[in-house]
Amino acid sequence: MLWHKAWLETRFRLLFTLFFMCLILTFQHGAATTPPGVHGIVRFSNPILVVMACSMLAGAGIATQPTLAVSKGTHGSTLFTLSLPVSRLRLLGVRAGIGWLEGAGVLGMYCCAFWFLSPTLRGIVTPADMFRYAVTLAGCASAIYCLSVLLATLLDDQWRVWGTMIGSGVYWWVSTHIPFPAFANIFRGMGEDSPLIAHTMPWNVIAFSAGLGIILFFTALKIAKAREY
Amino acid sequence: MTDFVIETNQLCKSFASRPALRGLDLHVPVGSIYGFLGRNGAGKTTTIKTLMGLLRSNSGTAQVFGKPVVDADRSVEIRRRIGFVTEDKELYPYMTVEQLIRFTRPFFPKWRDDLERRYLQLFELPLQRKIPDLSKGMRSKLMLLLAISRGAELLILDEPTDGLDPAAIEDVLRELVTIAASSGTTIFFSSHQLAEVELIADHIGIIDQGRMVVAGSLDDMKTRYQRLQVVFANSVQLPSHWVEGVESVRQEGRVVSILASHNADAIVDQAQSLPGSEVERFPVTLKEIFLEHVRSN
Amino acid sequence: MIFRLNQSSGIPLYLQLMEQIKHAVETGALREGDQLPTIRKLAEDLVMNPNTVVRAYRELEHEGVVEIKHGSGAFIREAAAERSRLIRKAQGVLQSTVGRLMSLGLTEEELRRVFENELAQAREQRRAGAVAERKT
Repeated sequence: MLWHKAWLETRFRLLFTLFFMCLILTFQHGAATTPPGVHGIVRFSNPILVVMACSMLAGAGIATQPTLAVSKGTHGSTLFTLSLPVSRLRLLGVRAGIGWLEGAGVLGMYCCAFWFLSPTLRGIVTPADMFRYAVTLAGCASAIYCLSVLLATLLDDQWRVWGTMIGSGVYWWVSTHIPFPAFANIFRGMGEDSPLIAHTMPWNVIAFSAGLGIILFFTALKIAKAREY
Repeated sequence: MTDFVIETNQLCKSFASRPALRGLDLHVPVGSIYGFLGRNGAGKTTTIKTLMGLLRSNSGTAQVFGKPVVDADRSVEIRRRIGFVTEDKELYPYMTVEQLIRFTRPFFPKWRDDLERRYLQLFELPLQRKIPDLSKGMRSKLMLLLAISRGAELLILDEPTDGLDPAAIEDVLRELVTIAASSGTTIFFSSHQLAEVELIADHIGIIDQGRMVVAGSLDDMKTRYQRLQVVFANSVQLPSHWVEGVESVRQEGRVVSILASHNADAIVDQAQSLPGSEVERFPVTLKEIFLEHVRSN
Repeated sequence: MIFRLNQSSGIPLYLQLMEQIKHAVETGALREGDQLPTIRKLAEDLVMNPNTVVRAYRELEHEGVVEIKHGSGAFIREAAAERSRLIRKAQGVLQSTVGRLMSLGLTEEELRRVFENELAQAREQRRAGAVAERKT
C-alpha cells in the first residue's frame, strides 16, 4: 500500500518530467540528425538530462509533501504517516524506490524515443546497445539520484533541485579536469565509456555509483530518523 | 498497584525558543478514560507527540505499554497497538475516503471491519469524496474511524471533537464510551470542552506551563474539592494562616469564599472557630478546579 | 428507565446516578427484583464512563440497595424496597408540615432555605458530636 500511496503522490511530477524530456527531445532531434553526430550529443546532452531528470524525480520521490522531508512546512499528514506502525527505513525506502523506478522509466522512454527519432543513431548503434545504454544511464545516475534524496531530507524543494545540479556539476567538473579513477567517473560512464560509443557496459562505474548511492541513501535515512516532527 | 498504560516521569522538552515540558509526571491507568486538560500552549500536543515518538525528549522518561518510548523505530510495535488522532486532522490530499481506509487497513492485523462499517454509516462519510473536499468535522470523524477501527488497545486523541457540531460530539462521545465499555480500550484525550471531559472521563490531568498541576480520579477530586462560603455577622480579621488544603480565599465584605482542594472538614472547623460565622458547603465543578489551577501563577 | 445526569453540577456522576436509582426505588418506578440496565447499555445511553456506572452499582450493592449477580446483572433488593416504603411514610409527614408552613406565609424559596439550613445544622451537630466523642 505504501507503494501505491507513493505512486499517487508522484504521478503528476512524473508527467511533468516526461513532458520536460519531450521538450529536450525535440531540441536534440535536430542535433542528432546532423554532424558531429552521436558522439557529440552523448557527451554533452545526456549527462545534463540525467541530472535534471534525477533531481526532478527525486523531488517527486521525496517531496515536501508527506513523509520524511523538510521540517519547515511539514505537511500535517506527515504526522499521520509517522504514527503508523512502519519503520522510517521502509518509508524512506519506498519513496526513494519509486522515484528511482520512475526515473529509470523516464530515461528508458527517452532512449526509446531518441532511437526512433534519430536515423543517424540507428545507423551506428544496435537496439541491444541502446537498451544497455538505458541501463547504464539508470545505473550511473544512482549516485546522483541518491544525492537528491539526501538533499531532500535537508532542504526545501527548489534548493534540492539546485543542490543536486550544483553537486553533480562540481563532480563533473572535477572528474573531467583532474585525473580521476576510471571507475569513479560517472559522467564518462554515461558518455564515452557507455555502450553507445565503447560498445561495452561500464559495470565498474555502475557498481561505484550504486555503492555511493547506497551510502548517500543511508545517510539520508539517518537524518530522517533523527528528525523531529 | 495499578498498571499504567502511559507513564512519564519528569519529562522535559525544550524547543529552540522555549521550554515546552518542564518535568511532566503523567500516569494513565489501564482501561481508564483520561482527560488531558490545559490552556493553549501548555504542552498538551508536545506531550502527545513525544508519546508517539514524533519528538524526542531532552530528559526524563516516557513509557507506553511499559516499554520506553526511545525513538520512532523501536516503537513500531507499540504504534501497532495505538489509535492516534492528530491535532490538525490533516490527511493525504490526493486520496478519497475509501482509498485512505484501504491504505490504512493492512497495517493493522486486528482491524475491525464491523467497526469500520458502523462508523462509515454513523458518521455519514462519503466513500468517493476526496479528502480536501471534506469539512474539518468530517476529517475529524474520518480520523476517529481510522483510529478506532484498527482495534487498538490505546487511543491517543488530540482534540477529537474539534470542529464537530453538538450532535456529532454526542455521537463521538457515545462511541468512545461504548468502545471503552466493550473492549476495555484506554482512552487518553486532550480537550478544551470541560463539559465533555466531565461527562466521560474517570481520570483527569491538568497541565500548565509544561507541568502537571493536578491529576487523579475525577470522582475523588469532586469529593475532595469543596467551596466553602462563610458569612460573618460582622466584618472580621481573617487568619493569616489557614490549615492545609486551602487553595484560595476571596473576601467581599462579610462574605468569604474559600476553595478547598482537600481537608475541608478541618477548614470548616477553623472557619467556624471565628466569631459570628456561618459556613455553607458547595460542590465544585471541573471548570472551577481548572481555572483555579491555570490562572497565571 | 430514564436518568438525567448533570456533569457540571459538581456532584460526582456516580453519586448522582446512585441518588436517581434510589429515588426510582422510592417512587416505586423500580421494584424489588427489577434488573438495572447493563453497565455497557447505561454507559452508552447516558454517554458516561462505564467505570462510573460500575462504581455506582458497587456502592449501591454496598449500601444494600442492589444485589449484583455474576453473569446476570444488578437487581433491586427487597430491603431497598422496604426502605422506600419508609420514605413514602416520611413524605406523608412532610406533606402536612409543608402545607402548614406555607399557610403561614413562607415562600417556596424561604421554605427551602430553612429546610437546607436545618439539614446543614444537623450535619454539623452530628460531626461536632463525633469530634467531641473522639476528644473525650
